[in-house]
Amino acid sequence: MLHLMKSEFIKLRTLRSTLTATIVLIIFPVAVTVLSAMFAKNPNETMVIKVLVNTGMVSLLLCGVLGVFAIAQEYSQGTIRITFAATPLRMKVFIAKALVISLWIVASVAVLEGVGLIGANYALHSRGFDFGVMYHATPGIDSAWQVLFAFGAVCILFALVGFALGALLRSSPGAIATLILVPLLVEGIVTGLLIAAFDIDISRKTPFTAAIRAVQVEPDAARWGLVGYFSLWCLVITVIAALLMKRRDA
Amino acid sequence: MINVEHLTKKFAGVTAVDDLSFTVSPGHVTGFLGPNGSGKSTTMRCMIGLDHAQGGTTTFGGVSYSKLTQPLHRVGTLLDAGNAHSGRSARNHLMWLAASTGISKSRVDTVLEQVGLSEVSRRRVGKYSLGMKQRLGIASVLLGDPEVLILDEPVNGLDPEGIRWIRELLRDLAKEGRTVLVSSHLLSEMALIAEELVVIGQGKLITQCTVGEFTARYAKQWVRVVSPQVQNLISLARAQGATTSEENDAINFYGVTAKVLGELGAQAGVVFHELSPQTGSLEDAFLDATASSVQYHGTQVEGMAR
Repeated sequence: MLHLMKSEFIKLRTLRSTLTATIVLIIFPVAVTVLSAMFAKNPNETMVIKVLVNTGMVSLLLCGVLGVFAIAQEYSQGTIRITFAATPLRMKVFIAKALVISLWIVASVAVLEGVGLIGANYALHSRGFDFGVMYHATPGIDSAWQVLFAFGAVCILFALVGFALGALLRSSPGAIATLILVPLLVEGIVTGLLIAAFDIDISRKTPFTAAIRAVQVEPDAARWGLVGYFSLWCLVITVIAALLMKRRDA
Repeated sequence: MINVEHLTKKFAGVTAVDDLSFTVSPGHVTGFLGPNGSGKSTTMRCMIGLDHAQGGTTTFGGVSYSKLTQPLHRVGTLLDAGNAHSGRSARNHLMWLAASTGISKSRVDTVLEQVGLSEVSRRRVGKYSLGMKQRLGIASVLLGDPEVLILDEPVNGLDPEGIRWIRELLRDLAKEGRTVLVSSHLLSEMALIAEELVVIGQGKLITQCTVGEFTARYAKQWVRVVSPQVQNLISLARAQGATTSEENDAINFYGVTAKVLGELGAQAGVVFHELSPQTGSLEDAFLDATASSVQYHGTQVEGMAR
């Protein structure tokens, strides 16, 4: 398994598309957060975290895109045949890929959060504000660490959903379109239609919406319950993708 | 040794490979021939488990591909030279493949040198010509130093120097005792590389034999005669049941041997300027053998040949 993981890591780090997506997913929220800390008129203790996770929505989607790249490009470029010829046990390949993309996201999000917080802290201190961003629980608000860990977990889950969609659709454009359209459009449309037609509100049950609610600084439900709910969806789609990958011709 | 037994593969009810059985022995190159759409590539994919066969088995030295430990060291396959990410360099392409089974970096450099890509190994594959991609594909086959090699159309896109290189490489690998199965549409090339042939049509085995046996069995044989008294000879030969056709200044006799024609000529006082037995090429034999299995026919368009 270690050989396979090393192989998958080489695949990720030797593609320009992967590196570009990773750099953007780190730089965009970091830049906005640090700029906010530098120029906000009345910075308060939750502002930095709020800006970081809100601009991190772009990073969430890019994590999903990276997940798509990890597998769908192999199908579109034909390298999946070489991969399976080298390792006929496809489930091992699937697990190695999922582990490596997860570790890649963990490292990227750690850099994103670390650099974002340190940069923001530095900016705030240089302006004479004497509080740090590592605030602690106040009534109705989790500690900053809870938000940051939840954000990291949801980033990994988005990557795994992207990976599963890539394995299912075997096409980068198709998987990326699905990954972007479902949370941004489809869930909202379906929810709206169901309310209009049947007066049924599923807005609190849609998976991507749950994931996005889970990373709010002040979530409207138990944070880790929302993460768990999205994990279940992620698990289902990943298992289906794994089974189909094993069954289908390469 | 490759042993394919009763391999069957269907796509949406269409049988691509139909109860196909053959063996490939070590020590020589075996050619895998068949018209377009005859199931050669599908067979190769099924052999290594990329496509799931509905029936039959393939074993390599008695072991199925999925049960091979470190298959790159046992079986090297080149199914499509284009199976490399266009955005990755050739060296990195081989690096991830090597890493998947613990092959060293030095081996990557060795095979790059062997296929002549060392100087361009850091260039992205997308900028490679088809011939260079073929060389990269062959490098990936050689990476694990396997005892069995399966190559689908390995000379596609290669220049004459490249074709000669791969011909000699495959022969040398076979001489080392490896098992080499090669498919190609270039029958003249196959005649030079292969000693044994597996010929299929519409997914079924047509024959498995040596190249010599194949041409003897399927290629036309005739006798070419150049003579000032050829009309006398034609009459005598036709009386023996032979048929004839004209070819420039010569007459071709079918259904009669050179020996018989020589004796008939001697009895009739015919002077021969040429009396030579002829055998059709591997291409002729292949076209005859697979005539009833060809799925896709071209037609001549009037005026296009000018």
